[in-house]
Order: sequence, then structure tokens, then C-alpha cells
Amino acid sequence: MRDHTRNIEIPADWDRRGLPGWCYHSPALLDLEQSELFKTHWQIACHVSDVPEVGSFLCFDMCGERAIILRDNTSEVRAYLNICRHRGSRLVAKEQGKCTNALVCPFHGWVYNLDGTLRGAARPESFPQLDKHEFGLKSLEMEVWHGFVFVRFKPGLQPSVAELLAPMEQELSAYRMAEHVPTDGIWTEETPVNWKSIRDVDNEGYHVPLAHPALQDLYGSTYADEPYVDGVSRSDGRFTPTKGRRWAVRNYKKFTKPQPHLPEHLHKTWLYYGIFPNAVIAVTPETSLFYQEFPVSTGKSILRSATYRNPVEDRQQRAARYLASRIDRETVEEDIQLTIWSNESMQSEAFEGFYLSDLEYGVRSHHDHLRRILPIYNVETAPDEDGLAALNASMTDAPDT
Amino acid sequence: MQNSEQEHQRKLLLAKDGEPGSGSTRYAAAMFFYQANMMSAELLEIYRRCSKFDAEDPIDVAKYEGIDVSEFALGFI
Ligand code: FES
Ligand SMILES: [Fe+2]
Repeated sequence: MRDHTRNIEIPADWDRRGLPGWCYHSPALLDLEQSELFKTHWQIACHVSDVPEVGSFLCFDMCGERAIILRDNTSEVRAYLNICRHRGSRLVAKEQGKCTNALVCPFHGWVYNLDGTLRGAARPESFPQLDKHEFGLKSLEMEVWHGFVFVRFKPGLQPSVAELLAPMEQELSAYRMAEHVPTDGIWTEETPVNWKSIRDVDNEGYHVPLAHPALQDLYGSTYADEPYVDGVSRSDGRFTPTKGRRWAVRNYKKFTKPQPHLPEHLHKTWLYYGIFPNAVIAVTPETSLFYQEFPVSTGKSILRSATYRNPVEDRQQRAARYLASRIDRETVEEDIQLTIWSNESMQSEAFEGFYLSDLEYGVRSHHDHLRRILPIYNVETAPDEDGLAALNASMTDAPDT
Repeated sequence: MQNSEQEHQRKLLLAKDGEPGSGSTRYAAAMFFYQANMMSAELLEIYRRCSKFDAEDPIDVAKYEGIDVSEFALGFI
């Protein structure tokens, strides 16, 4: 069951505008977003099944920060900064893999134990005695939620992941995501838009009938969005009883079958939970997945996602999962195009901003969350770049009027 | 505990030449023995030099350079 205590009502009279256009191409704002938003908010790094054995590791880079998620000798999952304590080199250069017993820095050869402590510096006789803890890898704040590994690079205002995602708990726990296993690894792609244009597209289902023929064929008008409330949004689509006009959808509907561990109302549903500011965890009967976006520059972002599956599946379920991923892939491509069109408008001097439908209140609710973190988003015309951070700070300190 | 860890590190120190990543595995194990005062800094440095060359046998290199390998040459037998 979903959480009915959330107030998801759309106000009768709301400001239908989006963020001011300048917010999509201001380098000074992007700096603030990276340090005050991305680094201070929980980020999905991977799933525990991506690091299945002692010594398995996965690297996760974001906004100039780099993490390594590692399974230590006691089989605990740990998160460290992927930064050598000698001169800061990337300690682990491979994206994913398994190390035997220790991490060796590729620069000068300092050696670290899997628990993060320093085993020893290279040419140890050239240093004074080094304390293995003081010179150990810096650990990163980390929390595992239903198998998903969250990290946070800087302290922030969000509560623990468990508390933050409590509204998702009841409904998603049925999926047994902690037992899920990887399908085809972590997928990343660079895309030529501001990160908010990606989120703006993803935060509403108003475009589904036009942009996503496969999704329309799958769940049609049953699709509905709930806005962000305390950092979490929710959308779902229930399969329509039609056979499906498109090959992938028709066969998906044919092959997908009730998963015994799921309650009946989730047998034919795709569910999406948005996690402020930049991620979604979605589930289908066959899979769980996350997707997220990170800014590289004002006009460039990284899309990152991974799909996990039930540990046991028969041929029919495997076929269904393959078809679901086809539908999903198609949808991603369509969305990428929409984000490009949307982002382009921000460069045009003639563009007057969004005028949002009630069906796009999710977009507004995300922007309102952003405004609460960085009040500078409320400034209608582009502020001076050099003074932007100071102006934002002064607005943060100003008492509410 | 200490002994079983030493036993484990011994195996890693003797990781077969040529296996991918074995140079680095041997060096990391050598660091363990250095820290336990069981290996000289000179020999550790040979392991470091060989760490990126999986096919290189550090004991051979050490012998060639005239570094004392007494205990390690025998694989602790
Ligand atoms: S930077 Fe890692 S050993 Fe020097
Ligand atoms: Fe979309």
C-alpha cells in the first residue's frame, strides 16, 4: 500500500511558472547547485549486489567528487573517498572490479587495507612513522536502503535515508529489492543539457501520450503523478487491458506474470519514486532500477542508471524483463530528445517561461524544493555572476517576511 | 589470528607470476611483511617496482641486484 498520509493535493491557485530561464545557464548557480545541493543530498551510488564479494568495488564519481564502494574483509559494504592520502590520486582507476586483499595506489604505491586503514606508504623509510588511521582512507557517509547504497559527500539537511524514504517503504518493501541482482551493469551517457531540464521532463507525465508511444500502449491514461512532498514524489501506471499495439508492449503484456511475492495490485504496475533532487527508483514486477542525473557544466549532464532483477527467474520472466528494458530504453531516448528541446528554449530571449498544467504540478513541487535550498532561484532576472553566491547567502539569512 | 593472517599473506606474496593483478597483490603482501618487521625496505622496494609487471618475479630481480632474500626466496618453507 502506498502512504496515504502524504498531502499530495494540488493547490487551487498555484503559480504555474517554472524557474527563471537564467537558472539553466548560469555557471555561478551551477557551482552552488553542485556544492549545496548535489553534495549535501543523498545520492544513489549502486546496489549491494554490485559489490557481491569481499574485495569487490565500484567507483562512483559526481560533481568533482569520487567515491569507492567496497566490500571489506568482514563482508560489510563500506564507502570511502577514492582519494589517496598521499597526493590525492584516484586510488582505484577501474570503474568496477575486485581487488585481492588491499588497494594499491597507482601513483606511488601506497597500500591500503580493505577496512580503509593505511597498510603502508611506498618507500616507508623515507617517511616518519605514519599512523594507519590518520592516513587511512576518508570514509564517506553511507546508508543502505533495501539494497540500494546511498552516499552523501557533505553533511546536509536531509534526515537519514530510511526516514527520508519512509513514504516508499511500505509499497516497495514487497519487491524484495535487497535480494535483487545486477542485469547489465551501470549505464552512463553524457547529454547536452542542463540537469534541471532532465528533471523537469521526468517530473511530469503530461507528455506521455505524445512522446512515449510504448508507455502509452502499456499503461495509457492510468498513469498518474504525485508531486514531491518532503523530498519524495510518486508516479504509477497500471497496464491497460488492451493487448498492446506495439511489438515490445504486446509481448511484454503476454509474458509478464504475477510475481508470487507481490500483492495483487502490483502485479501489473510500473511504479516510480522520485528522490529529490536528482534520482528515481522505479520497479516493475521483474526489476528494480535507479536513474539519476549529474551536472557536468551548465549545458552538459551525465545520465546514470542501472537495473536489477529478481534473483530467480524463469525463461518467460527473463523474456518479460528483456522486453521491459526495450520499452524503457525507447522511453529514455524519447525523453533525451524532449530535454534537448526544453533546454534550448532557455537560450532564446523570446522564451517567456513555463506555464504549467495541473498535470505538471510535480515540476513545480520540485522547483519549490529547490527554492527552499537556494533562494536565488526566486530572482527573476539573471543576477550578476560574481555576486550570485553572496546574494543567495544574504537571501538565506534574511528573516521570512 | 596473527598467524593465520600471516599464512594468508604468505599465499598472496607467492601469487603466481603472470596472473593479472598478481604484481600488485604480491607488493601489497610484501607491505604486510615489511610492517611486521619481517621484510627489509630494499626487498619491499623490489616488490613495488615489480607491482605493475605481473610477469616479473621479484625474487629473481632481488637476487640479480644482490639483495638478501634468504627467507622469502624459499617461500617460507
Ligand atoms: S598519490 Fe597515491 S601514492 Fe602518491
Ligand atoms: Fe518521459
